[in-house]
Amino acid sequence: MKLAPHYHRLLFLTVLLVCGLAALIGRFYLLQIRWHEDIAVEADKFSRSRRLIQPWRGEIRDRNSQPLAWSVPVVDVYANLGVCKDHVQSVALAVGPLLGVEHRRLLKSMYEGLLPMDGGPKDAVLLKRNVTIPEWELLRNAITNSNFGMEVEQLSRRERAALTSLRKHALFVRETQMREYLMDDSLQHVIGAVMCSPGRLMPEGLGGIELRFNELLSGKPGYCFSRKNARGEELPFQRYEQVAPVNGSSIDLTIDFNIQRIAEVALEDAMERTGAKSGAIVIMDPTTGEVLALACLPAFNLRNPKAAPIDWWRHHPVSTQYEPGSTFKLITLVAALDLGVVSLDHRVDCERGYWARVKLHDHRAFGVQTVRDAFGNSSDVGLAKIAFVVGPERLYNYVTNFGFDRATGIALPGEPAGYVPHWTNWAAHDNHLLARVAFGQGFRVTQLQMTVAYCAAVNGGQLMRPLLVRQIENANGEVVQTANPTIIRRVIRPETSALAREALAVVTRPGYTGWRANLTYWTCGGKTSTAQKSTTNGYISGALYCGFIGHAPADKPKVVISVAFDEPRTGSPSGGAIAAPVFKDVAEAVLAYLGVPADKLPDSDRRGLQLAGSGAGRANRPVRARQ
Amino acid sequence: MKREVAVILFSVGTLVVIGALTMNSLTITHPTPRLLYNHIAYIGLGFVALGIGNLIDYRWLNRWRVPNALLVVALALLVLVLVPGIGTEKNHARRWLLFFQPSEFAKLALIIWLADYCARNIEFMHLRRVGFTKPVLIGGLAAVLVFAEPDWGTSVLMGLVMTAMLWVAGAPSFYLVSAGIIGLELVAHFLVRNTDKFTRILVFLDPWKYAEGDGWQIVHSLMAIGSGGLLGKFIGDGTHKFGFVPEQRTDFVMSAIGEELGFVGCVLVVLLFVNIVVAGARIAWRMADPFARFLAFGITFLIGAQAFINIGVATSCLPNKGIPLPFVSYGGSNMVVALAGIGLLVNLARYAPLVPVPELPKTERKAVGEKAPGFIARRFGNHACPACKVRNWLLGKLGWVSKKSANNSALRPWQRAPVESVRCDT
Repeated sequence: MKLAPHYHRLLFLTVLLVCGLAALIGRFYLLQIRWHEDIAVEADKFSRSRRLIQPWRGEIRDRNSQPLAWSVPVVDVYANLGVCKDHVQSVALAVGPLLGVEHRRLLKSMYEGLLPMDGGPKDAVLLKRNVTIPEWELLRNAITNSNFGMEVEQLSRRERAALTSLRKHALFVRETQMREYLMDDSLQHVIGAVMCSPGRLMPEGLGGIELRFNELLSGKPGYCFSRKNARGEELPFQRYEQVAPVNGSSIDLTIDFNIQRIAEVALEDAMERTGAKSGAIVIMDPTTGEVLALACLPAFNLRNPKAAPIDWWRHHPVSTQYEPGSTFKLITLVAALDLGVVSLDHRVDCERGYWARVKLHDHRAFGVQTVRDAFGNSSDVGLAKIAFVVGPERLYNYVTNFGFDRATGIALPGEPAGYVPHWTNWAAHDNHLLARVAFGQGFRVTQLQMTVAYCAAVNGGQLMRPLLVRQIENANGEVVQTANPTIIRRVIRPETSALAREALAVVTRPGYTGWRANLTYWTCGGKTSTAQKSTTNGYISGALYCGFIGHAPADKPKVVISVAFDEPRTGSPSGGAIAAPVFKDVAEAVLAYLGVPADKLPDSDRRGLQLAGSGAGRANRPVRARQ
Repeated sequence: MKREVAVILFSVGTLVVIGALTMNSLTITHPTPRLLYNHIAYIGLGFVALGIGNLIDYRWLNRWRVPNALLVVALALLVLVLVPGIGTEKNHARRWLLFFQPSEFAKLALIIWLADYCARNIEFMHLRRVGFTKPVLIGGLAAVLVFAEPDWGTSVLMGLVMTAMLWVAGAPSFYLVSAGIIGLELVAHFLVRNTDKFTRILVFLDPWKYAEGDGWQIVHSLMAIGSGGLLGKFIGDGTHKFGFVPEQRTDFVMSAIGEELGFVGCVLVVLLFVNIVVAGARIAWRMADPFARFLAFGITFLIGAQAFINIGVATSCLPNKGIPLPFVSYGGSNMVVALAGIGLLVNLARYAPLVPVPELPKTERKAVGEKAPGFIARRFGNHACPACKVRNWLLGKLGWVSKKSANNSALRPWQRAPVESVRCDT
């Protein structure tokens, strides 16, 4: 029997231990030499952090550099559920009145966050969005000193620690930006609402300029590459790359906010008076094509766009197509005059109110009139006859040249391409479409298209591209891009344009359809329209679209103002009765604002004074048709 | 033995310095540098303990009743820590009695007691009752108490050290192996009942599968070690201390060292532990006094096994256990006990040169000239066993002479073993 010590056992165990430790060196070799590259790449993923730095969203200004929409720093206030978990009641009671939210709502959202529903118990819930910085400072001070309804003297040590952590960590914020507006119920459709969704970094435009130039306005976010700890918090002194954000550009509109307010106030007034479903005013500078005002009602509030029904988001002058009605007679007349097939002094037989050949009614019975009078009285028969003289192909060419078959290209979203049936299909309709195109039926245009075409007819015959954006400045204030007046094409000769102005001036004279639009101190011209609204089944009885497009001064137009109301209810709805007085109010205010010198005396003193450039003599005094 | 002492002290000192540097770099994750200050205080206490262990007369530990009293005190403390009002509960385990862990003290007490026991009963250690039943029951009591804390890692370590010491002291292998198997079965039994611990085994088998949950720590420990590369990111530049490896200062300190000092640092640490083990084993080898020999071996084995388990856990070679790395990890009890053990080792080394170096057992004699045959040879008598015959035949066909067995005709007669020798070498 062998006695202890068992040296071989001692040696064996020692060698075993040494071998085990040496085997660990092999393990280290594998981990740190052989697999080092792969593991390092994998490990890097966990500690790399990329933080986006929010760029500042650009301003939207009017043509006088008056800011209309800009961004202010705000915070979203969250409740930290990990801390608030056991004190939801007291946190809601303490925070609710300070936030201005009913504490029951806070309680509900916090309890819902704690429930194991859709995504399990959450770490934090949103309590209120868009809290301004001073408000948050006040709130934080109040929370830090709040007792959360506990009696501090009677608390145990653990409860006191809980109170301390509540005071420190119950609430936290995320910094965002909020859109601030000069007036939140003005120019809503053009500016467009902005949404800061909680998941997204940057606010996004929902409509108007904000949507169309979203990328330009929002700028480029910056990045901060850094290291983070296991909780995702950024570590100090580990930032290895930082890319500064590029703030958004600012956009200057061609819109003059004063003119816009004039139009909006007048429109609001008229909407109340007429009870129309919707109404819109477009004011353009005919020589440059700049849009000076673009008012549309009903409209949402920019700060709270979701409160309004979805119909109110529709930008009618740009997006809604309608049958233009009598204002389109201008295009027919201009086509005929430009081709030289008629002159204003030619006589046309208006068939005493009913042209049996194409089954056309006039709103009143007219006899044989000059073309000028037929236009001034808005005779459908007369204009239909002129269209027959022009012929379908040539009329179609004029219609397309005036840009009715395509979008105008204004810098706003949601503009439809125009719809004009090709002239070869005009004969296929039950009564000849040529006669109805002559006075604006059988196709659809937008109010803006009509206004742009009107500008081309009165400004000397050049179709201008409608401009809404005047210039774009980058974040440093350097002008990046300027929009210059653009001539799309010449549509009619300047002489024809002068004739068109003359004919349009007739409409606003006393005794003609647009007499209510006659300005007191300025000469003007225009055209009324009272269009029936159509569906696929035909025209709706009683549903009218009343509009007026006019320019002033009559000979050298400074502004073109288009007024339109959809389904006005009061009185006898017609363009002359409803839209023309609005035109008058707006035009007088706008011309006074623009400082256009008065070019006529009030009507009572006007005896013996001729309309400038109209060339109309006594022979062309209004002839009221015999009823 | 001066060389061994110098090697041990150098290795321990270097490890302590590496540990302090690591604590220094881990301090950045804390609001105050208290971690480092505490660690340095523990190191100071530990060196005081080392001095005490070095200066006392070690034979005092061998005196009647002293080892027994130490064990009784350790067991009493282990019971005390289980009492709900007294032990401090952290992470669902009662391991702390005020400021220290009784399980660490129990490790040293158990080693001293076992060394004393084996030295007193050295003639009868081959008997079942003396060499196995009694010491395993008493030592197992301590291990079970530690197990109940629960501190599974330390209890497994205590069982391991106890088995090794008894085996070296001459206890019969059969019983120890059987008891080891039964112990493993018991552990497996508790493992299956305990979902948390069983998850640890699952995590060990495939850490990447559980990387988001329970495998988080081990996966990130591997990533930390792996991302260190050859030379590491240098002291203080590691990024995994920021919450990725939660227990980095204690159980996973190797991941911090691996990340910051790289392959070179890891190999250095492992080699320093190899140094300690080899030097300690040499000291144990040279001891004339059986008590001193067993004590030296016990301390050496404890430190070596603890280091092996800790580093194995950090590199995912072993399932997760809560065992700190001696001399390096943060923790007062562990540091003080480990350094006290080193002090005892150094103390023992002083007595070594007085006795001659024992001879190495001659292994050549055992292969050829041993009279006592193994159990297979006993079964086949003087004939070679069939498996060896087949092997020899096959290797002979290949022209390879593997064994100098007596009946291998491929050899010249003088190359063969004597005829009376055992032919089976298994």
